[in-house]
Amino acid sequence: MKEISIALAGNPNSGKTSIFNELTGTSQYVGNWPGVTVEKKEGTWRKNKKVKIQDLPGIYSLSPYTPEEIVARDYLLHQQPEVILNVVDASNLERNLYLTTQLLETGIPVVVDLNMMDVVKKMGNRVNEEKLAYGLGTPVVCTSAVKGDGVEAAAEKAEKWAKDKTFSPTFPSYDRKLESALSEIEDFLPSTISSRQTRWYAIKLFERDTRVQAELSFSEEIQKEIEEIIQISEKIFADDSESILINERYEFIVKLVELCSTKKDSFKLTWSDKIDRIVTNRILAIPVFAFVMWLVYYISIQTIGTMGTDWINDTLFGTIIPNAATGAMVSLHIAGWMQALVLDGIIAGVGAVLGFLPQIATLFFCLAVLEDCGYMARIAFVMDRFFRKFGLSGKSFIPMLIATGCGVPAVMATRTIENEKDRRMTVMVTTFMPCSAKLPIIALIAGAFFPTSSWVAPSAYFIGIAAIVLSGIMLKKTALFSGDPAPFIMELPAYHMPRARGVLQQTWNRSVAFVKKAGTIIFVACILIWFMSSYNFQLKPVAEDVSILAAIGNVVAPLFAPLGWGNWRATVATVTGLIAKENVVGTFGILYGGMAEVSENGHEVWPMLQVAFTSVSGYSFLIFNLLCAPCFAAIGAIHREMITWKWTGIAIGYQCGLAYLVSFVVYQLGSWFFENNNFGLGQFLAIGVIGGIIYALVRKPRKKLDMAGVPSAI
Amino acid sequence: MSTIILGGLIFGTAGYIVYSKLLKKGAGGCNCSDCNCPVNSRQNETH
Repeated sequence: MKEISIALAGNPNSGKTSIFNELTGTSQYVGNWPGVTVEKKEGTWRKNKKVKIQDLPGIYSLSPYTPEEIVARDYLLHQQPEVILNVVDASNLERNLYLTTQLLETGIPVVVDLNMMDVVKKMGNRVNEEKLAYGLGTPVVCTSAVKGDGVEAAAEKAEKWAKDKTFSPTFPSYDRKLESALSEIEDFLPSTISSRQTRWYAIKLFERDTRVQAELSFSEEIQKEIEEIIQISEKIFADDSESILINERYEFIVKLVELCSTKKDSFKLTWSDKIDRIVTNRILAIPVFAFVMWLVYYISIQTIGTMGTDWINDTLFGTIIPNAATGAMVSLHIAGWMQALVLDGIIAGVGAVLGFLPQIATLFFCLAVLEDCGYMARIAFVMDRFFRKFGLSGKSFIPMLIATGCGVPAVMATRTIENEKDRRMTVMVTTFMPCSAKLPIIALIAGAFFPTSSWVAPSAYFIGIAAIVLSGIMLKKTALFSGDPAPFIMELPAYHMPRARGVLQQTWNRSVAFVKKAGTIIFVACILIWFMSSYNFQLKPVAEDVSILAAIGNVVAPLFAPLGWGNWRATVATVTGLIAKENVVGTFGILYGGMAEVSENGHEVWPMLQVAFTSVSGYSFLIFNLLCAPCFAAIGAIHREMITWKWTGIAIGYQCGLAYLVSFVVYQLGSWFFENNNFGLGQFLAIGVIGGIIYALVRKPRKKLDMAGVPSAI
Repeated sequence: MSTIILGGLIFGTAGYIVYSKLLKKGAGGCNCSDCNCPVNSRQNETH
């Protein structure tokens, strides 16, 4: 049997990736906001391995204005799937059907999938799929992807439609005069173009699509004749050719929707609208957001999550596992050095990271609830209004929302930003958001130094946002990033009760990923750190203070002395954080946690940290590790998006520089205010840094755009 | 003997992790549920 490709195409946030996951059995990330899928993905249908499913990025039209539209259009036109499963948000039929008309015009068999039918029913509306199928001249199926209803049937219908030998394309019919112009243009098309595609090419030539013009490379004479046909039509319709087609498409859609759908009462405010009046309110939006995020961190870091963490740290990794491992190794006569590696290296290091799992899982759960119910999408909308005041676009906030999970996909998500300068700037600042790997550092510092303060953990989130906003303002005033913010169009999904399945699935996936990372990358790093902290350069076992790690750490440590933590252990922890941010905690687990004789309970790390750091220097350490260069995986992603090492260097240099300056100011002024340190050179310089930052924020922007030396776009 | 077996187990696992996470072609640093990474080899070709 021949392989069949089914392409999932539709508007952003219409549920394509949910359908893709349901059909392929994969767990690709699904976000309740547009722009999550930036590249097409391919999978195999679970029921039939000969059927390939392609998940295309969400698009509003096939006119290639955005990177996503280019990816989708190139695939549909040049790789030609056997059938398109057009995922339509049935609760917003008019706007979604615009793309449907264009997909039908490609000549590829299309099955229209009315998704979110559960939402339509809940709104009290109805869509008659038979009438819609009749009007479009193509099969229509109904699904509710999040519940998994009808998804398999939709794929079966698409497969059947792709195999239908009697298929001949049916196109939406427009005004008689326009049809006649399109038919005249079709006569000029070369015979190499298949009869199914002539309509598409005629329409694109009518729209003066430069890509199609270049592809067909007509003689000057034919070009002139086509141009005459277009100009005559423009005179008849008193509009430009592109607008003529847009109007005709919408006229067709309006008639079709009138025919096949009934709406309850469109003027009545829904619950969603009422909630939006508060949470997107001009004055209340930001305070509500701040309260929600404080609550999320309070629940996960300070209260519910911390109960599980205490048990894992004190009991599981503090007593049960070390005792069991010691007993087993002694009875098996394992060598002393191997026992030390297992107990002081692997169990202390990996255990220190895994200890934070309950807090992190609780945070994942809270964020998944906020995302699934539709609140996080509102934050992007609220932030657009806020960002725009400072010359930034809300489009930059979508990668930042993704960055709360992992910096790598967040950096990749910047591809949806068309403006090259805005995209580069977003790549540079997006990893300031605390990703899941940074959460153990936040929980560790909050627990060790501020156990009763509920502001410390959420402050990490707001410091990330503040660093992004302030960086945006400062960088926009430089020649490298100046320019107007890109427009941001975003549709807000209706609020709904979070679905247990989706929320638990996301929490589970992310928690499993966290455990996997602890069992792989962190495991290897712990072995290395233990070795380097237990042996000297002659490979002889020595005390930690004269180990390889101490020797290296002591060379770099003075650099961090002005930040309040110029000791080799903190320095080494920061550097190992470049492998994976969880390593910071893992390293502390080995370097501080291994000293069991000075501790009475499982929290070996906390008292030792309280000796090595003050509260202010601990907070300064937290801020530096939040804002400095991300892990190597994210640096790699930054390089892939920036293309050149020069730009990657600028990004990493800026992140480390800003982290250093902010930590410096926090430590110098914090130790003067709260720890009664004398006012000296450090404090004087810190005030100077604040002055410099204020100047960078308020100075007049550079007017002239200097493009020299800026690498070309992706 | 037990030390050698345990050592082989620990360092063998570590070696495999280094190979699969860092050296192997297409190795990545983040999880698929986060990264939307390709779901089969044909996708890699389009990157």
